[in-house]
Amino acid sequence: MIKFRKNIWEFANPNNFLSIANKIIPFFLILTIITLSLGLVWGLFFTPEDYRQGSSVKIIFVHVPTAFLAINIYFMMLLASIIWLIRRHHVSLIAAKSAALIGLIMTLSAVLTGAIWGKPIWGTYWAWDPRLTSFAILLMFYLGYLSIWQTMKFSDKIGDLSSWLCIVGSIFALLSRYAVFFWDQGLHQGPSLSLDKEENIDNVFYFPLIICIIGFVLLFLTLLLIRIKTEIQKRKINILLNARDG
Amino acid sequence: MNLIGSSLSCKRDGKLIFSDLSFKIKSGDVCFIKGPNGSGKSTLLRLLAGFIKVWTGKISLNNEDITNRNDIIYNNFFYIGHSNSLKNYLTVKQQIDFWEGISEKKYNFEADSFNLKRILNRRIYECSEGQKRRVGLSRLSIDNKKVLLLDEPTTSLDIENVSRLKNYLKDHQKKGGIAIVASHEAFISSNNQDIILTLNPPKNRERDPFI
Amino acid sequence: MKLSFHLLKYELLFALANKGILLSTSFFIILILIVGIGFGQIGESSEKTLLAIIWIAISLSSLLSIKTMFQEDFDDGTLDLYILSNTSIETIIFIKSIVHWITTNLPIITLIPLISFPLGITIYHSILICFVMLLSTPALSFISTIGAALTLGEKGGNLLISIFILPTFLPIIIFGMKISLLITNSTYDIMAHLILFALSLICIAITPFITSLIIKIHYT
Repeated sequence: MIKFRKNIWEFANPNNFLSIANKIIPFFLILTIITLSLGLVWGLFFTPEDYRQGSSVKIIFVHVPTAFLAINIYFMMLLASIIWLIRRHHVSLIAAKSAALIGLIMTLSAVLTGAIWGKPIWGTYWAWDPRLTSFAILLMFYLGYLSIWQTMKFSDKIGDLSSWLCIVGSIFALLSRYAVFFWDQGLHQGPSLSLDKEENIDNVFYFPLIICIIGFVLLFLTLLLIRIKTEIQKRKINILLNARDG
Repeated sequence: MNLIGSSLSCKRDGKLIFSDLSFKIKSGDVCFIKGPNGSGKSTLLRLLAGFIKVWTGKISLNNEDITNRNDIIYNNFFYIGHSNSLKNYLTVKQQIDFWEGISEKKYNFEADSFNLKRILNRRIYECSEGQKRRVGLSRLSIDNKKVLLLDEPTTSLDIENVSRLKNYLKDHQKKGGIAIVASHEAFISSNNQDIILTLNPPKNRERDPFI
Repeated sequence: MKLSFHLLKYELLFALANKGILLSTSFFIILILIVGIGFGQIGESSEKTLLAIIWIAISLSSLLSIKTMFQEDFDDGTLDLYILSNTSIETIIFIKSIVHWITTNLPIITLIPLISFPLGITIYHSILICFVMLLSTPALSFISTIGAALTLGEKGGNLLISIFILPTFLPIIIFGMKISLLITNSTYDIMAHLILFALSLICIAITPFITSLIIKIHYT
């Protein structure tokens, strides 16, 4: 059992985090497999075909969750970077670093599934539509953030720099997004899910989609936990090697 | 005037450089910092100059707490590091004019403590290393601050110019200033009044959060 | 104020001594010519492509000499001196960005009427485009200081600066290109001009503070 802890910041100690992560990773893994397979099987095989889009509409069960994650992972990185800058918890920094690659892959898969979906519906794989352009912009900022970690050695200084890069990146990603939307609204359909009930997609698609999104979020969390665990162990090995050498 | 540091420690990039360092310097004192390479001599000077934040401990000047108070530090402390802060393509005169403008004070050409009159019109890249160091040190007599922090000031100076620097520091002592010098060779240590500060690596290393 | 003018004078002197003005202008001309010749070979050269190339060339050439902006001062210790002086580091970043704009973007902007006239844009339109650039390119110089600060002390940081900073130029480039395209069609969208100017001013207002925070990281 996980013991009751005084406050949430104790998870920020790498060792506490590691012991908890070891316990909950299998649990998350099983939950991910159950939700994802339930959502995908329901979505892909037990939903009717759309009267206009035919069976190609079913890619929505991969496209929407990955797009949702692509944006929200960047947001999570921003939060983690700010927490690192203010409270200087190493796990927070490592979480931002580990999330970046998953975010990049989510962005790529959202773009790819979008392209596959776009071909039969719009007749083109790619168009310079504002929503597609904002994903291209997101991709660039993910690449920038990843490249700072690729070229420089892990240290607190690089942590600070990458956090600032993430903050600056989010400001300008947002500005670019509004700059793109300023000129036209594009041919992309409106958001699939919104709080306004009138605009939502049909109930038949709604519930499997929600389950798919939960499944993908769980997948992200599992991958993130595993990557953070690896990163912490890598740092431990480095410190031990340095202690042995010098 | 007195400068007191009590149980100072400094952390750089997550590592403890030195810890539990205490000193007490009165006006007219010259303090030498000694220690092996990598023991944090330069770091201590940069800490006193206000570049690096104090991790624990307290620095006080004239019984006033100035820990991390950069406004007071900038007005009283003067720092010269390893580098001479020179621009290769300027002449010595232009370089001095540049510094005069920044500190809004003038270099005293009558006293000319660093013997620059003869090389005024020379470009910096034409100067020898020793001449460059002299130009770099001339900032001392432009600013005239009370506390001098010198990092290896004698590098590439010949004997004559080392004695010029000594004379300058003696004048500074007489005026009641303080000088803190990091140096491999104790270059004024002839009189016993000088304070010698020895830096040792921290004994009980702080536990890394990852171990 | 007197100190700021003193710094401005010397920063200009440093920038001119580095020959950055010559390099970035030559780079701009070469880039425009190469793309022009390339399009000439495939027989496809329109105002649209020319406008896009001008905007991309100006943003690339403003990144050319950015690496030396703080790196030189960091290496020779002048940055130490600036930090310990009575001016705030933000003022120095502000002055450096203005000097960078004067020495890289301003000469290029004055060249634009000369380049665009033979390629089919009327003098009147190209002067209007220059005016739009005068409003918006200072922001490019100010934003690129962030990249210079991020890669301080990093060898071969030039490529990294491009990776970090080119995406952040996007809002300015999108608005700039769209407005220039509208100008060549003799339509004037005042709202877009105002938004571009506002974006530029926002960048000028916030980047010195962000850059100074990043520079301080290298000192702690």
